[in-house]
Parts: sequence; structure tokens; C-alpha cells
Amino acid sequence: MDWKPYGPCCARHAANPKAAFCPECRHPLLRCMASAECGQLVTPSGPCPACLAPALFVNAGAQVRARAGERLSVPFVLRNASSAGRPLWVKRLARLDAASDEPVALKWQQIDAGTERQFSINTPPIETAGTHELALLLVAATRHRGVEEAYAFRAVVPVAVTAVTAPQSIQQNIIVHAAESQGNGVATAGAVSAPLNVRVDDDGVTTALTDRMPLTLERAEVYELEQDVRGYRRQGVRVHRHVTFAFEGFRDDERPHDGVGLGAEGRLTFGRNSRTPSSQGGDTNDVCLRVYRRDGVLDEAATMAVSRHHFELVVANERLCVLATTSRGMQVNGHGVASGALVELTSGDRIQPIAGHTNRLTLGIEFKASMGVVERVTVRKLAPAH
Amino acid sequence: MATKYLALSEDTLLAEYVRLNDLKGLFEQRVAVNPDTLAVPIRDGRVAEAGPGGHFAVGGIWRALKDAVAGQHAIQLLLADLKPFQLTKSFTTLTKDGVEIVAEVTFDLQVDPEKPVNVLGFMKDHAAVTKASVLARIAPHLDDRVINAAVRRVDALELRGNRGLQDMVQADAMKEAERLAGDIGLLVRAVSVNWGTNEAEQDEMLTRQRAREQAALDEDARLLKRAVEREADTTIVQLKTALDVETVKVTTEDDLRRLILKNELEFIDQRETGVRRQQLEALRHELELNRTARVDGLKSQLEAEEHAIEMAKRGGQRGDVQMDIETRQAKHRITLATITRELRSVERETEEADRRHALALGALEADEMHRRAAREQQAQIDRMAALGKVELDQKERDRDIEDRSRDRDHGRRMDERTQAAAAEAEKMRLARDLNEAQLLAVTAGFSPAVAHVLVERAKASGEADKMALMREMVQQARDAQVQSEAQARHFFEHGMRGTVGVSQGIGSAAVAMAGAAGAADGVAVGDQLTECPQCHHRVPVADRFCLNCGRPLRQ
Repeated sequence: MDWKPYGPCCARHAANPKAAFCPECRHPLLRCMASAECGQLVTPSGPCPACLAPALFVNAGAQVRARAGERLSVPFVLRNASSAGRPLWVKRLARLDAASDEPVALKWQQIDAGTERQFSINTPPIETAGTHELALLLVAATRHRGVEEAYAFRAVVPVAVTAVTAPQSIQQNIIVHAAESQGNGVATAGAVSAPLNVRVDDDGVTTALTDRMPLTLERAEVYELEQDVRGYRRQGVRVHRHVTFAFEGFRDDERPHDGVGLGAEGRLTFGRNSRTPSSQGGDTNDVCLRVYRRDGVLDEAATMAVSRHHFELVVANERLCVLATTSRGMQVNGHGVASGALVELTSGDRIQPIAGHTNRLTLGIEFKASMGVVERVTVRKLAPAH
Repeated sequence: MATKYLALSEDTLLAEYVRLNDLKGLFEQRVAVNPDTLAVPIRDGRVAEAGPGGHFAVGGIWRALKDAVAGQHAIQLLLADLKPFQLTKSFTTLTKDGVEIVAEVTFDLQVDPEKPVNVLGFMKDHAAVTKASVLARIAPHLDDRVINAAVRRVDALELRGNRGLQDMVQADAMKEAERLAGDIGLLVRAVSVNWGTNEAEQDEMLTRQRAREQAALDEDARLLKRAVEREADTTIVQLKTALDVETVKVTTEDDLRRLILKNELEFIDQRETGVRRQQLEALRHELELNRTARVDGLKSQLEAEEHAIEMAKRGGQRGDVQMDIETRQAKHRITLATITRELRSVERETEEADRRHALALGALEADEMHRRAAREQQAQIDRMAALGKVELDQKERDRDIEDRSRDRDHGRRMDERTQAAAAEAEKMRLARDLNEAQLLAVTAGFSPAVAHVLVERAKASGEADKMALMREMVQQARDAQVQSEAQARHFFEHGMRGTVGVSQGIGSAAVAMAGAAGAADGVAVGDQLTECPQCHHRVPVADRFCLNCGRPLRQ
């Protein structure tokens, strides 16, 4: 499950929408779920740099220095810099404290591309002098075709607190973060923080920022897992986009080979249609769902209860999910799943594609994880009860 | 001649007879009665005249002569006191609450001057009537009829000062006394009752007296305490020392009692001192609070005044700053106007540059379009040429294949002839050493039937060795980078077909050709595309890996 950056050949072959691997270097090509619009490649767990591009600034006029015992109210500007023109959904905004986080009550949620919103963070009285951190947490999300991908980011504003009688001094922190460049124009994330641009009075007390101060938004993966934003909090594991699948209990011509990934479109399709195009045309599935009796004879009645395209397996928010595409209804662990609904799957779950006849066709899901990452998902076709 | 005044012989008498005959003598004697005394002369058993005061002449010669001539008259003079007099009588009775009460009833009586003769009914012969005898006559009627009847209605403590009761008793007593005394010529002027101190009142008085005594004792104790406290404030130590000394000196019981009293006083004094100290501390604290509050108030007032002064100063400074700001704003507006003018100039230059850039860009785009059209045209020509070349190559390959086929037919015929000759020569030499299989193999080229037998045997032996050969082919497939069992099976099937063909091809080249062609199946199926052995996806031949499943396609 090692991951290496994309090569120049990968970017070139990513233009082929049917390519799941780079034909030159065999690198898996993981596409954004909205790649039809943005055409971007993504990392196994990172956001699409074109679809999800929040930019956080400390607004001009903000006070970032204070005397001991004073409170600060820092104004911020959150801008949606999506180059793909996709809106940004703010799921959560909070001020991180040593013990907990204090949510910021926002009256808005959506930021269209190219627009920005403003909010303020109030701090409690800062008692001791020195350099403090005003830490913010942002959970932003992007949506496409009923799938929402949310990511948590953390930003820090250095706040210099001076003692009332202590001599004043200016301390300027310059923080440079390397961008996660994939080379050849393929970038997944990255930002550069600008130095403080502040105005200082004669007595050494900072008054206010004269320009906006951009802030670095760092991914908060631990927070995502702890707060159940991404991954499986209870199991402590994540499912990356380049997870591989194995299939058991299927006929050879009805399943892909072991080790197959989610493919060029980022999803595995399940349905009654075969894996190869038929003479009558029609789309194919990655996995053919047909019901056989114990004697190996096709159970036509049960098979016809399965739609041509029944459901899909996708990875959203680092969780394996089933996306129901059938209108005939299906069940997961005995609970009905409506068409278009996205249901999370975990190890041990049961997918019953034929609602009401769970004994005919049941698929079991098992995870094989290592170091907190699910490396292989086994889809087991359980034998019919009769 | 002197007049003799007659009066009652005692003050206690109310009335008495005086015998005027005893006063007769040789000489006439004048007798007078004071006006406050009723004189009732009785002559020969008849009341001659009655009235207050009077003057009588008694005796004398004339009268002696007259008595001697006309006989002597019996004359008596009744004297009665007309002055009001008081009589007091005590009665003992019980109140409503059973307390014995002593009531002292005082009567104000007077002989009725209007009916002076009635007093005779009160008189007894040869006797005087005392005032006390009047009381003895009235009292029995008052005891139960008036006093008991009134007192029984009230409690003991309600008697004194009870004016209603007093009036009732007085009215009843006067009514009763007048009824009794009216007939004997007495007037009842007033009746009043004085209550003796009863037991309840005595108890109450005693209680009050004790309370007063207790209060007096308390007051004395308080005064004593205060005196001791005053002294104790300054001489506590001395008292203690003196107490110790006195303790040593105490020898008598009185001294010991005094010492105990002093100890008690000291204890009380200590306790009171503690209380006073606490009160003093509280008072000091309150004073301190008041002082602090006043100081704080004064400080606040002072700070407010200083703040006002500072604000006034700051106001002046702010005015200066505002003027400075206005000056700077004016300068800033001038600078802005200058910058705006320069900006306008720069914008004009920029627009001019943009126009030039647009023109240049248009020219470049036109050139690019021309070049692109030329490239496309050249590419089309190249594709046409390539297509012609491909067709020529195809025809060339067809000719080569045909030539090679003819060459192979010719070679085969030559080989057949050579092998037939060699076989004929060797057959004779080796015929005796050949087994059946070798013999069939040798003769297969001469007979299709024999070749068929050989083919069937080869198939039979192939089934027997299928698993071994299968493993061998798998190993070969691995060596050839074939990872899947399906691919190995695919190669195995074609290999088997080739093996059978070879077996058959000893005498049949067509079968061998078909086997060779089958062995090459799966690669280069179509133009520029091939099929992935793993996912059977059609991929470009030039790709190193399958773009669908990532399987390596070539070394």
C-alpha cells in the first residue's frame, strides 16, 4: 500500500478517462470524484486541490498582539479558491483550546467558488505574557453526485502577549510549509504563509494588521479520525482510495481478478449484467450478480430480481460505502437502502441485494487492515440457504 | 340672770331626755339650747314644740306659786343632735373567686330637721340613744342584702376602683337605710364602701413588692457592676493582685463570702469585658470601613477630577491631532489626485499595449492556424502514404508467404523424396530393431490411416501426461511472465494443439501450420491493439502495462 507521487507519464495518461493505471509506469491513477469537471488526480486520502481549496486569512485591521489580561477578537476571511468552480461547504468551525474546542456559531454554510465569508474568533483573557497560539479548526466538504467528502484543517495564528510593564519587542514568525507537489503541474495541496505585515507604534505596541495575513491550512488527520469526520473511529482504521479487492464465492467469469482496485471511475459496479459486452449491448459491470442454486443451475427468478446495475462500492471519507443504484430496493445488515442512498460498510457487514429474500443472495464484507489502513477488502458471496 | 346652755351629755349620744324639773329652784332659771341641737319640750306627755334651738325659763317664785296654785306640770325636754354624723361598719364576705373580703361601710346620717318628732320612736324611756345604736339597727339589713349581693358578682381583684360596683352598693345601701331610718327621723346622706385589702390583693402586692425589691436589687447590682466595671477597666491587675492578697488574708467566713462575691463579680466582669471588647472591635471595624469608604470615595473623586483634567488635555491634543489629520488628508487627496492622474496615464499606456498585444496575438494565432493546417495537411499526406505503404507491405507479405509456401512445398517434396530414399535404405537395415510404435511412426508418412493411429496414441499419452505437462507449461508460463492459471491453460491448450499437430504434421504440414498460428493467438489480434491476458481488455500494443488492470504486457 505504499504510495509514491505521480510521474509525468501519469499526468499525460490521466487524460484517458478509462485508464486506471498508467500504461508506462503502472502507477494507479486515482481521480477526483468530480474528475469529469476538474480532471484532477488525487492522493489516496487527500482532497482534490481544484475542488476543495479553502483559503483562510486574518482580515486587515485585526489585532494579533495584546497585553496580558486582555481579550482578542480576531476577524477572519474564508475564501473558496476552487479553480474548478465548485462550492465549498463549511461543516464545522471551532477555536481549538488545550482541553477542548469551542464551536463558532455560523449563520452560513456554503461558499461559492471565488467568493468569501467573514467571521470572528474571540479569545478568553490571556493571562500570561509570551507567544500564544490561536488555533482554528475548519471542517470543509465538497459534494458530487450524492457523495460528500469532508476534510479537517487546522490553522494557527501566532499571538504575542506582552506584560503590562515589560519592554515591548517585535517577534515575527515566518513559517514555510513545503507544498505537496506531485510534479509536472499535478499538485494535491500546499500553501505558503506570508510574514506578518503589522504596523507598530512608537512605543512598540502593535496596533493592527494593515493587510490580510494568509494562514496555512494543515490537514488534521488525527482530528478527522477522532471526531469521526473520516475513517472508522471505532476501529481506528481508514480505507484509502487505492484499496484492493478480493472476491470469493463468485464464478471466474463473474468477478474481476483479485487485487483489483476501484478502477478508473473510482467505483466497483455490481449488477446482473455480465462483465463483457453482450450482443444486445448494454453496459457491463465489474461484478456480475447472478443467483445459482446448489446444483449450479441458474435461479432465473432470483437473478431477475437483481437490477442490471444494482449498486456500487465507493470510498468516501475514507470509508467503504455502498451506493444503491437499483430502484428495487436492497438491504445492508437487514436495513433497507433507498435508491441513491450512501451507506457506510465495515468489516462483517452483510449486503443483501434482493430485498425481502436475503437468503437468496448475500454478500459479506471483510477488511484486512495493517497499521490503521485497510489494505484489502474481501467480498464474499455467501451460498444461498436452499 | 345667766342662761344655762343645755347640750347632749356625750358626743356619742344621738338624743337624750333632760328633766327640767331638776332645774327648778327658787329663782327662775333660763335655759337655752343651741341651734344644732333639736329641742323637743314635752309637757305633760305632749310635744309642746319642736325645733332647733330654743330658750326656756324654768323655776322661780312665780312659777312655784303658780304650780302651787294650779298644780305642777310634768315637763321633759328631748335633745337630739342635728349635726350629721358618720357611722362605720365592717362586713366580711366572699367574692366570686372565693376570696374573703372585708368591706367597711360608712354612713353619713342626720336627724331629719323636718320631722324631729320621729326621733321619739327611736328613743327608749329613761335612756339615751347613742349613734352606735343606729348602726346596730341598720347593719343586719345591709350585710346580706346589699354587701353580699354586690360582692359575690365580681372577683377579688375587680373590687378596687370599681366605680360601677361602688354606685350600686351605695344606692342599695341608701335605699335600705332610708327604709329603716326614715321612720325614726334620720336622713341617710351618703353611704360609701371601702374595701379592705384582700388576700389576692395582698398576694399581688407582695408579688409586686418582691418584683420591686428584685428590680431594686437588680438596679443595685447593675450600679454595683458599673462601679466595678469602671474600676475594673483600670485596676484589673490590681484587683487580681489584691484578690490574691485578699485570698491569703481571708480568715473569717465573711471575708470568704466577700471573696466569692468578688470572684463572681470578676467572672461577670471578664465576660462583660469580652463582650465589650467584641463590641469595641466591631465598632472599630465599622469605623475602619467607614474610613476606608470615605478614603475610597475621596480617591475616586480625585481620580475622576484627574481624569477630567486628563480628558481636557486629551481633548486639546485630539483637536491638534484632528487638525493634523485633516492636513494630512488634504495632502493625501493631493497625492491621490496625482496618483490618479498617473494611473490614468498608465492605464492609457496599458490599453495601448493591450491593443498592440491583441494585434500581435491575432497575427500569431493566424500564423499558428496556418502552421497547424499545414501540419494537418502534411499528416494527412503522411497517413495516405502510410496507408499505401501498408497496402504495399501487405501485398509484399502475401507474396512472401506465397513464395515461402511454395518453397516449403518444394522443400517438403525434396525432403520426402530424400527421406523416402533414406528410409528405404535404412528400413532394410533397421527393420529388425524397430518396435511397433517406431514402425508406426515410420510408416505414418506413407499411410493416413497409420498417421491417425499415431495421433490417437499421442492424444492418449497426452491425457496421461496431461498433469505433468500442465505443470511444465505453467512453469514455462511463469518464465514467460504469465502469472495466471488461465493464461497457462490457454498456452497449454494451444501447446497441446501444437503437439498434436506436430504428431500429425509428420505427414501433414497444414496441421502444423495451424498449430503454429494457434500458439501465436492472443497477441497482435488486431491493428495496434492487443488483449490483456488477465482482464481481456483491449489495450494498445505499445503499452508496457494494461491500463485497466496494470498487468505487465511485455518485458
